[in-house]
Amino acid sequence: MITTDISAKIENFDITKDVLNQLPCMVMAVDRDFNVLFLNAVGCKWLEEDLENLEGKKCYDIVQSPHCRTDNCRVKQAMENDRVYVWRNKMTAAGKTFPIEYTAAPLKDKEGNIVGGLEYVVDISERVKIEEEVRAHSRTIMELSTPVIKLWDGIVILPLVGVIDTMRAQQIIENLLFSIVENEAAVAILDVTGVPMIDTSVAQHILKTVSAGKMLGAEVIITGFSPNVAQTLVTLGVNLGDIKTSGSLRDGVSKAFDIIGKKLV
Amino acid sequence: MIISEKSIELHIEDDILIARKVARQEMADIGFGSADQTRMATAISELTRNVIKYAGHGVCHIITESTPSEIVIKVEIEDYGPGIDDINKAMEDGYTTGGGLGAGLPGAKRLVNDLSIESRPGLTKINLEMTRPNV
Ligand SMILES: Nc1ncnc2c1ncn2[C@@H]1O[C@H](COP(=O)(O)OP(=O)(O)O)[C@@H](O)[C@H]1O
Ligand SMILES: [Mg+2]
Repeated sequence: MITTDISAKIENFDITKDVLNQLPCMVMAVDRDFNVLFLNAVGCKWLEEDLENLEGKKCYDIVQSPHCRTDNCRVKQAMENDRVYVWRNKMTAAGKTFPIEYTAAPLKDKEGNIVGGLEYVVDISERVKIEEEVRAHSRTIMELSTPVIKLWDGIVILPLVGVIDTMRAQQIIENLLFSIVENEAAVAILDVTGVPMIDTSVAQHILKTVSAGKMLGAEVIITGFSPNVAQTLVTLGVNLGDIKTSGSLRDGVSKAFDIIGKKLV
Repeated sequence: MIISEKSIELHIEDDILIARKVARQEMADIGFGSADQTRMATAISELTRNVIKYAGHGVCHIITESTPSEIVIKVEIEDYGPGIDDINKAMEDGYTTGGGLGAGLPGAKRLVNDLSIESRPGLTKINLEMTRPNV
């Protein structure tokens, strides 16, 4: 039963309390005015507080995050909208700040009336560290994957791998155009085999690359559209117009040799 | 019925990639095929990019449901920017005020079939939905 009296609460809990206290994350419940009703053992440890001393304290007095006391507070939103929210945030407790993921839900009485909110908070320091490593790693792959290769006299090729954002698309265009000039290329192949998805802003960059290539006297061939990507572009209504495309890189390369007048054997 | 909800705040371009990735993952988890994943991820890419380009920032909620008969993905994209002046015009192919291709909104509608827009200064809300039989 939900009551707003902490001491009565403590007596009512036995197994539930044991379980909650042994959960390796912070669990807190507040009433509609953000008075703390319950804080589990991990929470008490993080905040260096005793449950008995929390009487009359607001959650935002014992823990701080950028969401506290704003409309962004997911516990507030959970109470108002009767919904569950999962959110990433930073939390400062007992002088330490660390990244968290918190889940906020409305707290209800037996009749289903919302009488407050509850949240559980997971320390995601480790996860964030790993994500940063992965991000740094994929950045390296990205940088590695933008060099243009000279395939033959007059033919340059740029294989794209991974997710293309607009910044990277910009960089790709510049690299390709620069290498067309440097190699006096007649054909440039842009291979998108490794690209899982193309939206209109990336498509626009591809279109720009093709017309800029033309201005420099080079034909740009796009190869390796996957069936999913091709279908999506058609549905979006992106007009690839008179752009030369080839299903596979191999076809594209032979087309390129045709253009410079050599038969590929 | 299994329901999962994820929210991604949209502030920078990286957030677009995160929203797309989360949607794909959530869809894969309940059995959507890769073509549907690509369609939905592309639609999300268009709409979240619009949020960052035209509104500055917003939120993308991704909700998936799985019942014995159906799998459903609902996406709610919300921003607190200036709003879309003329929704009918914005839904026309080729209409752009930002030097784009003007294919994002109408294209997203074709990609997912089910798209609704609500917009006024201060709040723009776009809902996408895709339902498939649970096989
Ligand atoms: N979230 C938004 N807030 C305000 N205006 C928007 C928003 N999304 C789209 N628009 C308007 O609708 C137009 C069409 O959008 P879209 O079809 O994606 O094409 P594009 O992004 O290429 O301009 C935009 O140019 C812009 O004027
Ligand atoms: Mg757009």
